[in-house]
Amino acid sequence: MLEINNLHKSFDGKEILHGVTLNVKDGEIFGFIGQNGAGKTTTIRSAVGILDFEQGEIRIDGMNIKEHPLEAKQITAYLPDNPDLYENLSGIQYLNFIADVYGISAEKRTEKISEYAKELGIYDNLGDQIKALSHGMKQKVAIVSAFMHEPKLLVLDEPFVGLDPIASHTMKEKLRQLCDNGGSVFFSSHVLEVVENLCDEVAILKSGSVILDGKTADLLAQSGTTLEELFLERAE
Amino acid sequence: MNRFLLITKVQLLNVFKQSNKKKKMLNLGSYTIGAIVMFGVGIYYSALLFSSVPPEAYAAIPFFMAYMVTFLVFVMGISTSRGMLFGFKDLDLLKAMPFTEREIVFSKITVFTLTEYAYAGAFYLPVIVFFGIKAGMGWLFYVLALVGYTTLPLFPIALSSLIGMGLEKISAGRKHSDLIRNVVGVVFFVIIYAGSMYASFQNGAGAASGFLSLNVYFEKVLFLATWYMKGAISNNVLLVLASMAVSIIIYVLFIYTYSGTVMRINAKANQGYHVTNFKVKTVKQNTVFKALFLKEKERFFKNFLYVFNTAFGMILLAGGSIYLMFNRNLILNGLSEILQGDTNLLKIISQILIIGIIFFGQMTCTTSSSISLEGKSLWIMKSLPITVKQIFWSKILLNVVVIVIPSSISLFMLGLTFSFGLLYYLMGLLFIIASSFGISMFGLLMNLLFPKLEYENEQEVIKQSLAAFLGVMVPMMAGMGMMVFFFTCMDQFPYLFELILLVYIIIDVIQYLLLMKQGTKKFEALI
Repeated sequence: MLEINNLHKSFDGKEILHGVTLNVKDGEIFGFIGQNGAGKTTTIRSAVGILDFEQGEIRIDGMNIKEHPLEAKQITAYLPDNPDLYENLSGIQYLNFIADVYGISAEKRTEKISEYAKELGIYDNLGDQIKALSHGMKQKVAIVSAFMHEPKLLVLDEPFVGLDPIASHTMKEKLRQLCDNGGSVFFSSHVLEVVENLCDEVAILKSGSVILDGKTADLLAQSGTTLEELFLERAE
Repeated sequence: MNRFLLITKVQLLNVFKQSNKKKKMLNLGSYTIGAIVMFGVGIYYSALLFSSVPPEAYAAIPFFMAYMVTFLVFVMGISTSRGMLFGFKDLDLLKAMPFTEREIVFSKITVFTLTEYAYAGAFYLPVIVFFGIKAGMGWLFYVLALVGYTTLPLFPIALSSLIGMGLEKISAGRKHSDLIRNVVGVVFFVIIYAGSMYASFQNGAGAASGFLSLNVYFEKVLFLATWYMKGAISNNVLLVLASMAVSIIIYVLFIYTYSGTVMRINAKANQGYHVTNFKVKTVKQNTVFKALFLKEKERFFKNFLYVFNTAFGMILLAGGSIYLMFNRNLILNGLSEILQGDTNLLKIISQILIIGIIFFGQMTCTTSSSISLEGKSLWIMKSLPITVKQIFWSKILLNVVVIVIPSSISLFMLGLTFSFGLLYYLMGLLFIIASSFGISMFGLLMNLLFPKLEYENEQEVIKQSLAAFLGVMVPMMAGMGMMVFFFTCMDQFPYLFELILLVYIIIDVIQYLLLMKQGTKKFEALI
């Protein structure tokens, strides 16, 4: 679903990513971990077409993100670590805007928005102005916007930060459901327990290079440790 | 460093920060160019003022400018105070740091006051120097004029901020707070604008006898400016000091009032509105482009500062058109005198009025800050399946609509009043459309060249960014140049009006090509 091959990215002449290669398969939840500044967000932002890159190739469902950006974005949803939304709009105005962009019909969007918003406990607040919402509530609006067009690939940067336990649980269920229906999830997180329990595959990024990549179960079985211990050992 | 100075310095630095940190020298150069342009405008304006009156009327000019500075600081202060004095987003951050409320409040007032000084000074100080030289004033005049200037903007700053505070109080936290602020702000401005025009014409002045007639109206209303300038010209130190003292007292009283309520108002201003008993309703599906346009429209009309700063020309145009409808003879008589015996009087009037409408349109530029206003939410535009062209056109279309609708209404109103022929209705409409696309694309190009995606409040982007400055000043100067060129050359070239229209269309095509090639690359490179 998502193939990142030999990705190089520089900022002001300084190379941040040194040939990152990852492969997120259909129906898979892929966890991406690394220390602060390792290049996780840069990789993610490149993958969803926000950042340009000098070298390498990114394909979403076989489509090159540089050659077919619109087609690739149409089947992708992205959720940043800090969801800065349009503060002057209300939650529902924002969701309708996103629904228009993805071409979701009037009836379907009403159904999907209601369904996801109720599950995340944000339904009653959708009429509020976004700037009146807390960080977690904004995060929930962004989650609804990401799920409602039923993407094939969901790319998330630190998705559990700021969520309450119920919303966090719902989110995990939704991610699993999406993958059970053939979609894929690629997300970064510092919450290693979540990655360990949720992800089918995991990769560790260190200073712009992937230093470990494999099936979560295999890696843990081989090392005989928890993901946290494995990460601490490799990241040092 | 003293904590007050520290916090003030940081906030001033933040105002002039650009998104691209790598290009510090370019930013510095850009601001230098901006300052030179502003100073150039001031000098140009001064020269224009002095060349338009006989030497015996020179003394009226510094009075006029002192009134204009007071008036402009007042009008601009109403919108500027929003964001700088109320609703600033770093309130929580600052309150959590070891600063006293007084230090926070004073730093905000200081930054606001310095900003207003900078704007006013750029236009005002060259006039003082021009007048001093032209009228052969002694050194004491310069000293008194400059020292007195340090307090001249204090009264309008205080008054406009108090009005801004009142607007904030009645609107903060309400669903239609921006609409309330926009309507009240515009109505307030129109009342003052119409009042001053009416009063000056009631005094028997009329447009033909010039702008200085406004002095009659302002002389008593803005008595502090009158004292100050009278004192400076007649070397009356006491009169200047009296003006300064009263200004300072008013300003101190304002600070006292403001500091007592600012934290409460700000806490409310940052809250946004809540809706009770919300239910999701089925709404009509829009096309991608319409969705983008509606998003731009919401952003524009829900932002008092944005409306007031960028649609200022349209408010002036509406007021001017209504006035001319009821004072048809003013133009006819004035131009009959100038164009004695010219058989094409109605044709020339049609052309002049259309060019006047175009000029006001050229002061209206929403696009020069529209990319920057995406700010930290730029990721939304970049990650959605939409093209850069769609984004550009949605921003351009908003500005075109903001210009074309009021301008077309003005064209129709003035056309009826001055009996335009069908050809001039059509050419006028074409001219309005061509010029509105031109200014919109120019603003967008400026914003792509000088983006400012990181800011604490939108004020920094809409009012203080280099792109916003260039987006308004360059087309406005071009518009003034075009008017002067038309007036001076219309006798020599029979098809000058059509030629200018053609030039506008050619400029549109060039800008379109630039936007689609270089502009797209610039947008894609934004992070």
